[in-house]
Amino acid sequence: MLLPVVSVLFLAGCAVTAPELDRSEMAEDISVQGIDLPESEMPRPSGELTLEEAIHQALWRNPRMQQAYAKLDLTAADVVEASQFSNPTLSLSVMRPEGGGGNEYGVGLAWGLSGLLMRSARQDIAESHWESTRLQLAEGMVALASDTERAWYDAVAARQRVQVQALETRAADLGSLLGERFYDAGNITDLKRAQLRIRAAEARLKLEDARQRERETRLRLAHLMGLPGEVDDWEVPGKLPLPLAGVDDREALVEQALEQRLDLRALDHALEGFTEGVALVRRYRWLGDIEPGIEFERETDGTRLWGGGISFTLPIFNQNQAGIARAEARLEDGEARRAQLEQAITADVHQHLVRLTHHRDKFSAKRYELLPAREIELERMQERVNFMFDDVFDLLVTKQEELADWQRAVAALGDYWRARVDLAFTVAGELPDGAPGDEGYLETDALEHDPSAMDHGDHGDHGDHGDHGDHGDHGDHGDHGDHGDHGDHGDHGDHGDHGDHGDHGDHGDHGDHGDHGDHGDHGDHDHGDHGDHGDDGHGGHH
Amino acid sequence: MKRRNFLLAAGAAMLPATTLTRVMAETGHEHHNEGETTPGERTDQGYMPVHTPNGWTLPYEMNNGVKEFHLVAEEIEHEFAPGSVARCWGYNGTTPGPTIEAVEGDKVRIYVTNRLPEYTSVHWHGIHLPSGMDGVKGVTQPPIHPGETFVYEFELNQHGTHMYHPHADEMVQMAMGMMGMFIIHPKDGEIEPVDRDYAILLHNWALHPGTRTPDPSIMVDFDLWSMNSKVFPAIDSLVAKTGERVRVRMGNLSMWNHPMHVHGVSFEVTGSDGGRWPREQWRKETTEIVAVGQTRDIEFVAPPGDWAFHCHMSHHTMNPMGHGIANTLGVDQSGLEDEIRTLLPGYMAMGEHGMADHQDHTDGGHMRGPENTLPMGMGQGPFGNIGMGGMFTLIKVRDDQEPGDFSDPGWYWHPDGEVARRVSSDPDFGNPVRRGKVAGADSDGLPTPSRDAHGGHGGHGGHGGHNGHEGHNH
Repeated sequence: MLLPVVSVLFLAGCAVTAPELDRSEMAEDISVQGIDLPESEMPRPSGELTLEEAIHQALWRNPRMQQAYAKLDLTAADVVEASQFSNPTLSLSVMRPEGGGGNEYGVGLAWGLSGLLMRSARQDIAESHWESTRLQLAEGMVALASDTERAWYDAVAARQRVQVQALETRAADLGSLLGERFYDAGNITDLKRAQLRIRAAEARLKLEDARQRERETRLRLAHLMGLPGEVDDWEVPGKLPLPLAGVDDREALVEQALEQRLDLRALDHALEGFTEGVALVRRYRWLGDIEPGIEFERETDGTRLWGGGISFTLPIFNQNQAGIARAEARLEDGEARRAQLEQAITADVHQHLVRLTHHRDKFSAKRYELLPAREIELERMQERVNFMFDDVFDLLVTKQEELADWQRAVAALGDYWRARVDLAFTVAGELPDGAPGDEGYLETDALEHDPSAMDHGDHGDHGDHGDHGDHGDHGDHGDHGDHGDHGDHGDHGDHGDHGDHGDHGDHGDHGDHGDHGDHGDHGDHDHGDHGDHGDDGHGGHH
Repeated sequence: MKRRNFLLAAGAAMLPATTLTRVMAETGHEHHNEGETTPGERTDQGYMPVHTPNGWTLPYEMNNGVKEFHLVAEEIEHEFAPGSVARCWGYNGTTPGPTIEAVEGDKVRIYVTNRLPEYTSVHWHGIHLPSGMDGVKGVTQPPIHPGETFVYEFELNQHGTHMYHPHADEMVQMAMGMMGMFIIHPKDGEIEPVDRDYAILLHNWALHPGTRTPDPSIMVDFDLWSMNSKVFPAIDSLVAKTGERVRVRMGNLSMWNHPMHVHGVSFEVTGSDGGRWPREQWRKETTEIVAVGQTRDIEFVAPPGDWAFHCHMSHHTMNPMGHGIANTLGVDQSGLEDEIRTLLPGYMAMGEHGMADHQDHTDGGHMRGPENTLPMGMGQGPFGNIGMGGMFTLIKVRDDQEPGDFSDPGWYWHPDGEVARRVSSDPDFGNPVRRGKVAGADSDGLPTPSRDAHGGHGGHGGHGGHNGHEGHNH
């Protein structure tokens, strides 16, 4: 009689220990996606900041990571709780009989049997949930690394554009300064002089805009690295890598994405636990209203988190028909959400690949068609000035236009790298087109010459002057807020409804998307494609 | 050593060796003239044949008392000067076409074969002939289509300096170079015989820098100004023996009038397409305008020396140049030039003190111009850069130039004391009389009228008391 009680009490004492995060498993999960987990605390960045170092800083310092680890610990506590029995109820009674006599003392011990029956299932469900949360933590790391990478490329592009814009502004300034000399000599009108001053002032404003963009991209990168406002001791490189070979095997990318996406794997684990919960309901319907749960919550960044659990009551008034129906419906809903996430990922791969190809082609057209033509134009214009068919003001305007196109090329290249980061994130792994730098860099140093080396005539090949950009100024894309942080990708709950990618348009609140700088003013550029930034929405996070 | 070679050597000694080589190769003034040799003696019909500098005279065949000529209208490759070649249209391989030369009273039969890509016709400018031979497409004849040959026949009943050119799509065809001279000598001989008789056709070309085909759409802003479709320094020198009577016949089929100026002489204007004028109508000039569509004959007795002969429109004695560009005179670009070179390494500031040095830079090759384009100033002489282009050449008169010798004699050897020379390098030299206001570094330049001088029209408000309109007698 006593044995069952004792054994139950013994079992009750045998709670499992909390699951611990295996860092090597975590490192393996994210290394598949091309990210190394920093091993130890890193010194604050100084000097030139490489992409890898920026990512390490972010993974080490960004509070998003600490938050994700805490969430994992919470889930680990759920696992412990699921393995434990609820405590039995001890009741004591004293009865005084009427008419005298001695008091009677009673001792009662009540303990719910259901806890015992369902302990194993509850533990499995909690462990599934923990594994799901662990995967979401890993995905959060990947997302943070992706955001940091995008911000780093933005900062490099912004720096390179400042370099080229400074030269463009110099051309306009020189036109204005020369104009003063011509005016002083009595050779040009006040009207022409004013026009030259306007041109110079406009170019200086463009330079200020470019510098502001650069400042913002640096601040954004510092913020992602967990060093808000600390921008004085480090510097990103001054030139972007050239585009890599084209990526054209779309189906292989989709396959890779569906195989490696951590959010998809996390959802699978959550659904696995929930499926077990539904089976439990069916098995113990006589016990009462057992209700397995799976929750899809909307987070501020548009992602959804999922969680699971089970609760039950006593079957006094019904046999839990409604609970069973609800559980089955929820399971169907979860499976539908999974299908939605899969489709959303597939759609994102397609879209990002199209965008990547577009930016690559656009950059190529600028760098290998437009800019060489500009270079020829400039050389021919110089020859015309030599023979007095045109004057120095015409020449400086031509130079300004060439430099503006260089800026546009840089901007297009920046767009290419942003698109590539998006695609890499979407396919959850490295792309098969090589590593940044394999094809060399967009050189802009050759745009500035040593005035003592007078080289009339062939300027040879300016190689790639880097980036003239002038995308005008992209100005602001509307403040994507901060995509950056996929809000703690913690748990993506139900990507379910991606709605239709169609209109990513509205980034809603991406959290901190990093910085599209201020795309504000698309001014004169042909950015073309910011239009559809929609895409920043790392696949499946809307 | 021939005297002219000795003179060349003497002159050349003043030039550096590299310059000399370039001069020998480029100027065309030291080594040879291009025009086809002419006899330099009178023909059986008694006239001194015309010499066409850089050109030639069309031969004829006699056929039953008729002089038969054959013109072929065709696309050609033409060089205006070394460094500038274009696809032009011309006759018998050249522009201008060969000079047609005949005598008053001759019967001529002229075949015209069209090898152009479009139809054409030939108008015999200034010549009296039957209306149907006048060559105006659509008016006096059908067009000569590509591949067709037409024949023109008429008797010459006048003398003078005439021209021929298309009268079909003439805007294009003349812009492309289709023209030639048609000289008719008087049957009764010359009232004043000439020893040298030159024929020069003036023209302009819109061969834009960097292009190879003349642009027929241009009306004013031409690039090249030519004598017989050549520009200086590729225009042959006109040569003569001291004391010879020289006639220069000029025709103008360009779109500008040209005041043609000869240095060293007062020439006589003696004729036109109206013939050689009666002596009473001759007049002395040193510059004669040859208007568009006109011909003018000038004559002079040649004095020894090298004499410039050119249009006096100064832009017409330049090769291609821009118009309306910023004026660099007096503009100090120091300091900014190096800054500009950080962006434009080929840039050179020019023109603060004038454009005199421009040729040094272009000849030196470190200031390249557009392809197929000549610098605005070219040519080397015994005293340095000539800095000319366009309608400019030299009349070279020598004591020992043989009759019929049209070759270039080289540079003139000036007798002692007959060359302008430096007497001082001090700008304060002497005590010259000066008037007016001399500009200096602190000069304010011209006063600029102030708008405020009108007392500011500011308040147009109260015109009230104008009484203005009184007296208007409306």
